Amino acid sequence: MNRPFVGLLPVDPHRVYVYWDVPSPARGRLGLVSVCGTQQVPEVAARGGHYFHSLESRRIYIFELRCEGRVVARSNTVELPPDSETREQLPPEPAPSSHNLP
Amino acid sequence: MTRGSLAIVLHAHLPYVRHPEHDQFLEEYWFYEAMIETYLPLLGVFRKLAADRVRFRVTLNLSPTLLAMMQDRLLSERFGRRIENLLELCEKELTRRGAGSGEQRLARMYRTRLRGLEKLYRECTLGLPAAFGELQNLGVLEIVACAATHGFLPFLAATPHALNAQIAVGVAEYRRSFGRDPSGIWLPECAYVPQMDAALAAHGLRWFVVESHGIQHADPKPAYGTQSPVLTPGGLAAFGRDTLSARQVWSSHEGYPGDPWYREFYRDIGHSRDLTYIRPHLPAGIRFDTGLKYHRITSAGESKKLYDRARALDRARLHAAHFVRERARQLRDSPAPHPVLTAPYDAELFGHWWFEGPDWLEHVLRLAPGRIRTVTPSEYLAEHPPRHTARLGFSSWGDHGYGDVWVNPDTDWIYPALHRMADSAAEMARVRNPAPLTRRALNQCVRELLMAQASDWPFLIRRGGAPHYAAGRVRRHEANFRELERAIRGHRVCAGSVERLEQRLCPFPEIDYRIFRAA
Repeated sequence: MNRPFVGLLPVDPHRVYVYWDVPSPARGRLGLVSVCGTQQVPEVAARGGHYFHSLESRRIYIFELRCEGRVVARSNTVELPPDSETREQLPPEPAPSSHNLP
Repeated sequence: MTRGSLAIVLHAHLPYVRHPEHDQFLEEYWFYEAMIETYLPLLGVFRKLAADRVRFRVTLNLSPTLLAMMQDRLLSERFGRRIENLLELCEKELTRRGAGSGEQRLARMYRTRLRGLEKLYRECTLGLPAAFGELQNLGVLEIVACAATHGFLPFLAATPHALNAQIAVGVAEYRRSFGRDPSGIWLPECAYVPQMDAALAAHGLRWFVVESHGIQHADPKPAYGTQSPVLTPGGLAAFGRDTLSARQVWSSHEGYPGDPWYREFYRDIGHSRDLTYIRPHLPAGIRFDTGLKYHRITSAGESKKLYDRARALDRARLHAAHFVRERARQLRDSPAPHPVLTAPYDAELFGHWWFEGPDWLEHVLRLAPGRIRTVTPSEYLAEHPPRHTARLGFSSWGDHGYGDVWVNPDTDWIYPALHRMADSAAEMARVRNPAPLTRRALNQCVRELLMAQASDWPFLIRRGGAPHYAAGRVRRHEANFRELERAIRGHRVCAGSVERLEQRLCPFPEIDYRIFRAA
């Protein structure tokens, strides 16, 4: 019960959303670091969320919550899709205004 | 001579909006509205086609939450009352002082229609799922599975036990409802990530549908794009949504539903009649659609002309002929050896948003034989097993094609809560041989968690449809989960509390909390 965790969600080809929770804050400074090391927030609160934007060419991400360098929790793996600029745009999922003129 | 195939896939889903704690509850009316406008009319169309021995195939998904509501006794009674109430409204409209002959003609049309739907509903003595199941047994429909509460599965991959539970319960509900194993699954929001393959395959599923770019951006790039399914590394077949057939039905600008002769969705007498007059036909007196709409789209302006049913049906016939012709042309021009166009739609588009949609679909299916062959994905796979394997990336059919409809600054608070609950559920799944009452509490915990995971809540928050209700649902399910968890961990489960929560939330009668052990 009340184990620390960090979760990772793919948002789009350029963004991931990282959330975490350390129910009993570890002694020392908590930081959030991607395993590849290119993304990080040196100091975070015991619980929260963060969007990482403009990720580089790397597509596979794992994040770790670290306390004074020690890994407290490790996220799932997320693989981002290719850039959306080449995607053919389709109308989005139906919404009330999508199918019948107002 | 026809070439290639067309797979029409209808996805019918509503969130679980049963509210026994209120005599009338606005969101519960979403269900009655969809029953009257979409599910019964579609059932009627399919039965008519089958009775006329038309050769057709349609793939249908009835989500587990929708199945649960269709099978629910309380909602069934309330639905019967709702139809009676609307028939009374039709009678009132026919004698309303000041009503013109045009409006009275339309009120008569609605009365006839409602009487027909009521009769059809009474004929389905075993419920709508069984009635659709009969059509599956005839071989004209293929019904596919869906995740338990329509969770956005790529986000649940952060907690694999939760991902597995959504699929496992969805498949179990399918078996319970239709007495057979599903072959395919409708992925909620067409959302896919490669991590889902193993869980899908583990439950015996063989195919699913993804948005066009899911196939177009696969690695290696499939030679025939969305016109042939590909195998994922996990061995499942992925059918890609056909862009052209989507646009012709989907788009408000280019699509058929925006035709000026079609019925205007946004002019409902529930919003325009004097409140004293209309109040007995509204949920708890709150302004809401009654389904009685007297105008046609006419133009983009405010001034609307009266609806002309005969002209609208003519347009539906013309649009159906156009659709069939265009699909035949696409298939004729396709470089794929055995092309298939996959055309998935939200079922509620047909009849609810687009009043003439079921008529259009009926015409398409009547016109298709001899021009295009309609198939189900399972039928297609049996004839043409895919040979090419490709790795598909993350995609969905939401706005922008990925996940930002469901995770954004308005909704991101939901996911840590779901993660925490999933971890707790996995811990509680280790409980061995619980007492019967504790077992019920454990099972109810899983129901509450699954319900909190529905993709509908972040969607409704983001789109502003019913943001307070949606956020309240997530918070309420989390609170119920925690209440039960505290009782279980403290060995003080109370029969009254469990019963109260079970009465309010009772889908998935065979649910087993140990499902969270599996992953």
